[in-house]
Amino acid sequence: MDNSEKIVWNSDYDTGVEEMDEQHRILVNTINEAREKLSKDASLEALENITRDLLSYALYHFETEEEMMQEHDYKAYSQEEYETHMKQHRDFSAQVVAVRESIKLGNPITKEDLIEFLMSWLINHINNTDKKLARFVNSRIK
Amino acid sequence: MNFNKNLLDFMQESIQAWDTEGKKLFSNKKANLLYELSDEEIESFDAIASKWTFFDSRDNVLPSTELPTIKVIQTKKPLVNVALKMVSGETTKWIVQSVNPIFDANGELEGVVSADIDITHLKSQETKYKNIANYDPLTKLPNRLLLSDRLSLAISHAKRYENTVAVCMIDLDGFKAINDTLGHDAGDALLIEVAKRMQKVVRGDDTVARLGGDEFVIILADIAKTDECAVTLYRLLNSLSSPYIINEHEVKTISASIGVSLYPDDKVDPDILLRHADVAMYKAKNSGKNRFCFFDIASDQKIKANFKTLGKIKKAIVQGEFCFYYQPKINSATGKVIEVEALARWKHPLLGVLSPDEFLPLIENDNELSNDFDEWAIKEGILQLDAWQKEGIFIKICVNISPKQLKQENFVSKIKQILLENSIDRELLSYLEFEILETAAVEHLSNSNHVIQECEELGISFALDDFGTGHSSLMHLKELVIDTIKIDKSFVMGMLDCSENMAIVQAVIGLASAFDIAVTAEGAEHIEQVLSLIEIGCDEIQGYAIARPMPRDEMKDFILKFTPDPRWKLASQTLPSKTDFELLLAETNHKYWIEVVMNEFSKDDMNEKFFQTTHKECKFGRWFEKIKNQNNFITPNLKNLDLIHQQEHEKVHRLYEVLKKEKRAINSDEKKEILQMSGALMTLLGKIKKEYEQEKKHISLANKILEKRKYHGQ
Repeated sequence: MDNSEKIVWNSDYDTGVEEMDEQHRILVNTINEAREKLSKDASLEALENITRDLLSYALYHFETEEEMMQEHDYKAYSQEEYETHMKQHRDFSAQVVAVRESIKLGNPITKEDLIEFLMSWLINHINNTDKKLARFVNSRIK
Repeated sequence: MNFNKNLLDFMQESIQAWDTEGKKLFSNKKANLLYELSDEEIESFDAIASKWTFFDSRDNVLPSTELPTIKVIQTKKPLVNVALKMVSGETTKWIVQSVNPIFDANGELEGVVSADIDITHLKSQETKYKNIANYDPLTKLPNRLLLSDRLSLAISHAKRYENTVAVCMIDLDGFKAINDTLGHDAGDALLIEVAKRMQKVVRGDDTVARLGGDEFVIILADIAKTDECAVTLYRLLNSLSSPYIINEHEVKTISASIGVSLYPDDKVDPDILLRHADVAMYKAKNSGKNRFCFFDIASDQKIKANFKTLGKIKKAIVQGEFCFYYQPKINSATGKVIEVEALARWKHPLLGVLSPDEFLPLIENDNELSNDFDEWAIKEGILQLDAWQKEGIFIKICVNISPKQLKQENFVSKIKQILLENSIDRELLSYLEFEILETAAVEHLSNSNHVIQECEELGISFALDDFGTGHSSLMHLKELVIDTIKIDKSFVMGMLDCSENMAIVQAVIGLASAFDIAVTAEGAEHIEQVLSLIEIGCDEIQGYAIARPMPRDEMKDFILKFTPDPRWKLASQTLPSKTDFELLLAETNHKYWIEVVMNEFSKDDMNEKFFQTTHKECKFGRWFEKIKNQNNFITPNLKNLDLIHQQEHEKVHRLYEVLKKEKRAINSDEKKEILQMSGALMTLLGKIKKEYEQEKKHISLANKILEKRKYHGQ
């Protein structure tokens, strides 16, 4: 994906679980905002603020999804999917922490690398992982 | 003349005439009344100029030479309708003055006539009108007119200082019902109370205005972060929805819907900002009232999400979801655990055990939360000390706190309170250490800080974390009250393969010893690093090479059972001379290289850089060249060492090429071969060490003999 372009939300990204979709839109906005801010001001402070927002977002969003998994006992449905999903969440936080560490050590990640990581993670996570969870959750509700 | 005088006294204006020297020609009754001077007192214009201070229409004081009367005497030209303010003691008056020159028949200036009209009563009415024009008479809050003034001012201020301005449009929920059921007087009383509550919630420089009806606007100026704005808004909602007592009725049905637009995130024009805030306000109304919405949907959601996260952290503190893991610090001379650093973990019910890197940045960004968290940490540290001491384990605990704590006046009394509540003896505090980040410490840790002094009096010690990454200068180090500095792990981790990092580590150790401060090296991951640290005189070592952070029960076992690597003893017993040290370093470097190379050989994608250096370029090789140049002769052992070292490099290089070509990992035979070579090299090094020791003995013997000879005069 070309990371010079804003992500425009389209129905392809909808999982069908409204709470999840709303939160995904927040992440899309955060990434779009990050790109816009960093193109004006690529200072360490800006990077730190953005990565802090991401940490905060991660705690918020992952908790929502993991709550869903627990509520509907996703693990019993598919241990493998459950573990993949959890692992992707942990990886995201770990990556963001690593980015912050690299800022601290004085060799920060470039804006392009950061945005690319965020976008590919998000798109991959939504399409390959969240949609499976959403299908399962929706099948349980109906 | 008398007739003229009487005529002048009847006039409504005050009339005075002065000669060219400023002497009084006449002054009518009205003038005497205006200037509050008797006819006798007014001898000259000086009498007036010394009793009254005059101001121009811009409120600048006029020096006497600038007064119209004096100016007309000088210029001989009339000055008409000059507005002046005059002040004497408590009295302020406004006049409009006209001064005309009078000429005699020859056209020579005879004097001047000044006619003044007192407009004081008009002025005071004007002020009243201005208030009516700018303020709401019911609540005494600024009205729409003054609001737009204040908003423009806030925006230009924000432009200059790159701050954010929040425009909050507030509409009361449930107000109409009060008007309908309790009457308009009750409605008015409610609005007055609402205005008071709003003013209580905001800061002094913020503006609260009433637009009319139950519509209010708050301008939050100078916000550094949007989170700050959210905190105020939640407080506002809370305050406005609390019960009211109106005419002895309790009113519980009032709340507020708030719409917020942000400058500069949103458009620049103040009117548009207000309109956007209005749109957002309707959104708040429609989505259930008693809430706020931001105009920008994206930031609205983000701010709320962040606020929820912070709220969860707050709840987690209260519910005891945080705990400490402990990482030991070893005294390098004795090999004993002397202290443990307390590192926070969040045992999140869903997400598992979270590391501090994931939540501390959020906590540190919020003053209130950071305060709560530090309070928890200090208490937890003290309680753990107490628990361990009751089991006979006397070990220091180091707790990380935010330097902001040291600004709080009640910091020490809070600590004493914890002791009191848990019946813990004050002696225990000498086992407590506070660790503060270097980057933030300088301004907080100075001698002059009495909170620090009080802590030190209680026996609490201080450590400076991440030393080397911040901006502490030597000057500062002298002024800071600290007992320990911790060398940042980035330097320690890189000290064996980057000579600059090694130099920094050595410099910090030297620096600390000059200031009589203890040094802890953090992040020692390999035994080689530990050994080198011991060699260069580091007092205390912490890192994965010793132990990872662990839960408190495991920590207890660790303290009781820990025995250091036997190599420690060797390293700390043979006190190093410089040559010994360099030898040891060369040895360590070589071992490290072998370790890295073996590790690379088992990987799919080998990093080429480890295989490029020749035997003369590597650290060991450079050490050897230096030795060769220093000594006039090369012992057979040294010669042999050079040869084996060279062969080893060649071997590694060849193997690298083979493995790369065949795209496979190292097999066990190849592994064995390299380790054997490395072993042979180590044995040789041991022999060379012995040679050195022999040589040292020779030298000291020779010195003794020389001394003796000197003594006997030979």
